[in-house]
Amino acid sequence: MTDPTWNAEFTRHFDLTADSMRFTAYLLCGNWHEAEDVVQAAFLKLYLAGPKLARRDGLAAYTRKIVVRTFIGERRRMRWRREKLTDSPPEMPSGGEHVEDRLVVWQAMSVLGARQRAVLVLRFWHDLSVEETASALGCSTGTVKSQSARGVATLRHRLGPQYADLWQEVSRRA
Amino acid sequence: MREDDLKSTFEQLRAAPMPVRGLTADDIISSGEAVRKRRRTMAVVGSGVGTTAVVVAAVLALALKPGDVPSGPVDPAGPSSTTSVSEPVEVPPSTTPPPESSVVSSAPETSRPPSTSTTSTSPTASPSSTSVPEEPVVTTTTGTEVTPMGSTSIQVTRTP
Repeated sequence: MTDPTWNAEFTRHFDLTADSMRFTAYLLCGNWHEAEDVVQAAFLKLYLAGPKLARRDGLAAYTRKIVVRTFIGERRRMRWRREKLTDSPPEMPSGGEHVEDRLVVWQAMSVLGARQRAVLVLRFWHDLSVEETASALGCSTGTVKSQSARGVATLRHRLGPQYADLWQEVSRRA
Repeated sequence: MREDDLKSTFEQLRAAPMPVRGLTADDIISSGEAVRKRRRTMAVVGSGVGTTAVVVAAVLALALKPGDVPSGPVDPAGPSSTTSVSEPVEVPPSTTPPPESSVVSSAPETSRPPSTSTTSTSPTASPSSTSVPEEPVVTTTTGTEVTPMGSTSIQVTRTP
């Protein structure tokens, strides 16, 4: 059954938030191809669940929650697939300013687990609180804190002391 | 590394040009309609199959109840040991009074019901009587004899 009102609302919401969700999915997945798949699956879930929503005033947060959980679910299923992911991203980032630190941080983030990566993206990109992050991930606040601390520690371990010098040099050039 | 460095990295990534978006809202809506149609079809087919399965299971359960199943092989039915003759038998009126009627006949007239005396003596009695149409017989006991086995038998002689 087609709901014209919901179709129009969904189209408007998609045009407003599609790019933001794509970039969030890109930060989570690490490449644009997988990010496109995650965003498409997330918006499809949103469209199917739309007529059953009691309130539609928080669609952006709800869509972000669907994107994060779809990404975690895809990574969970990816363990059973025959294709193996590699540490290097499938495509090279386009040239621009501060390519060096992006590459360094990007490669360091690729070793993080799905939940740690999601916690870091939600906490430091979307500026969500611990409670909001826990609600989006469906876990406790203690889990958010521990996952965030372990993720940052892993990045520090991977980047090493030479990252501070690189970061200072890049910042000076910027 | 600090958390601010991570946030700065995300901001720099966001400032970079994004690839062209190959997804539109119309694509999502058409995919959603297809998914809904498929789910509706699956629901209809599933409910039909489920209903049919329940009906078949109920019929089988009723047809194969444990009490109705024979426990062993059944022998074929043999010929009947009794024969019945259905020939019509003419029953003439009874002329033989019942044994008790002879005793009763000697009784005073007042002690016997009128209907009994009529039926016992009238030759045109009702044909519904079941007594054998024979001539009156007199039974006389002639004697007894002892068999070699020690049992006693009674010899009865009928005389017309």
